[in-house]
Amino acid sequence: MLRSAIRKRRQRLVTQLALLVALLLLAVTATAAEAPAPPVSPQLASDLQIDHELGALEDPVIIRHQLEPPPTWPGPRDAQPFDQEPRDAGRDFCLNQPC
Amino acid sequence: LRQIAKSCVAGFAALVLFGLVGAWVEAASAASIAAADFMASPAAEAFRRLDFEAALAGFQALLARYPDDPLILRYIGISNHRLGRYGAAREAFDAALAVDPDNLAVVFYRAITDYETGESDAAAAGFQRVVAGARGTDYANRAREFLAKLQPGNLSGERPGGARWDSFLQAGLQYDDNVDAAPDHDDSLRFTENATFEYKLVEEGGWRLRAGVTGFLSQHTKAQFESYDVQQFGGDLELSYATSIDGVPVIPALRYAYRRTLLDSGGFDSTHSATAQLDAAPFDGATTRLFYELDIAAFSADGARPSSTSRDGIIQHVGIKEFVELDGRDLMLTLGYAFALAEARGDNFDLRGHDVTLGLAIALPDDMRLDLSSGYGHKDYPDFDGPRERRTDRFRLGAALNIPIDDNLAVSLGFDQTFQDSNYSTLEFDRGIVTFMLGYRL
Repeated sequence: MLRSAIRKRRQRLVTQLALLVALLLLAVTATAAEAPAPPVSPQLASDLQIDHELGALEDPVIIRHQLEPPPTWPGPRDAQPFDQEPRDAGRDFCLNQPC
Repeated sequence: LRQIAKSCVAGFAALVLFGLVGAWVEAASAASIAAADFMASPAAEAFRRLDFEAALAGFQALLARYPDDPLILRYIGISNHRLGRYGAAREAFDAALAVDPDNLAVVFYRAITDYETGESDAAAAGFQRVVAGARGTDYANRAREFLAKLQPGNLSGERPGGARWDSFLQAGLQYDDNVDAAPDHDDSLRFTENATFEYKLVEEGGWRLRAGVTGFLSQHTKAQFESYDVQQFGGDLELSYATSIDGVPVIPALRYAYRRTLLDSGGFDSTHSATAQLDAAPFDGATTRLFYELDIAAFSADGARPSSTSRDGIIQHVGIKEFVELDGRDLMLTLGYAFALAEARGDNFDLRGHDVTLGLAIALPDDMRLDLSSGYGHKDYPDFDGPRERRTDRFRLGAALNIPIDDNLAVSLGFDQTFQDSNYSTLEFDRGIVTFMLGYRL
């Protein structure tokens, strides 16, 4: 009975995952359909080329912001506050052995 | 003859006029430096090799020849900024903008200086101008990243404005419908509190040495689950270096972390972790993270037969994460894979694990954000002391809404569902957790 319940739940999970993928595809399509950027002025293109050649955009402050990973809920540091390990491991620990 | 003489005089006058105009145009063009001359200057060469003092002196000498040139003034500003002289940087940027108010390159660097000195409103205004006016350029792409940081209620990552310290408090309620992750469900409501403090010990050039301490507590409202109340404390030290290799921005980092977890019933575990990590952005809008982590874990209890039941051991993780920005940073996709290998003192806990994660963060109106996440993990326990090898499959699905209240305060409302399948039925479970969290950055 439990297996059946888990199977049903898993089917629901697969459906939810499919929805997530569909959402993602929608987002990609929306991005692709976005209007192209207007042409860059010659002055700005020249400024950008100079900055690339001299490495002005390689300022550590800019690099750190560029590479900072996206926010992840709910913790501020790319992780949930607690990963629930003790509870899960406790059951493993007693499995098939006297605790 | 008179007609010919008139024509000659008119032609001469025209020649003189053209000559004067030509001389004026030449004089006017000499007031701004040609890009090729600028690039060939010793000052530019010094800037290229990161000798900003020499570059500054050279740019100032060039400015004497080309007064008020916005390009030279911009590089005087950037050089001063790289030397940490933010006041002088701002003066140079302002002088350039006085000559050329619509120069978006200058507006961009001026906004970075404002950001570094904590002038958040001025920085945001500058970055917004760049995003609107220089769409599709690296200026606009980088400006978006800073703007995301300045967004109200964005409490993730490092504190904006170049501050050395950062502290964060989080408190909330969780409803857990299966506290002990068992085949049968026992639910409970619990309070959780989380505090983090970080300090940058060294921040020089691209180098950064950062130290942090963190604490987490939880208390169940049902007395029967008090033994699951958690107290967790930890600290970490991280050395990183931001640079670029052949124009590709990279940040290699080394981190050491220690974590101690206590349950209400007593000690649980302590873990030392060493991590080597490399972040790189070979393509604009996509960041790749490669990591290797070595954990040394020691548990308080070893069980009745430590050669089988002890969980003490070494766990190695190696993996890759890909962060992709779609539509600026309004949509962010995360893909990850990690392999884990555990060599435990007890045979039951030797394991090989594979984890795949997929996440999507969607920007919503009013600075709200919806985070969707999912994951699949498979674990094999090849030396398991039982009638058959133990295997575990785990699915996870989560959704959360992040709502900013003000610049430093945000609310999160989320749901997280886990399903575990195993060839040992007692290890199968499903578990849902509803979370309400309040986060505050001091």
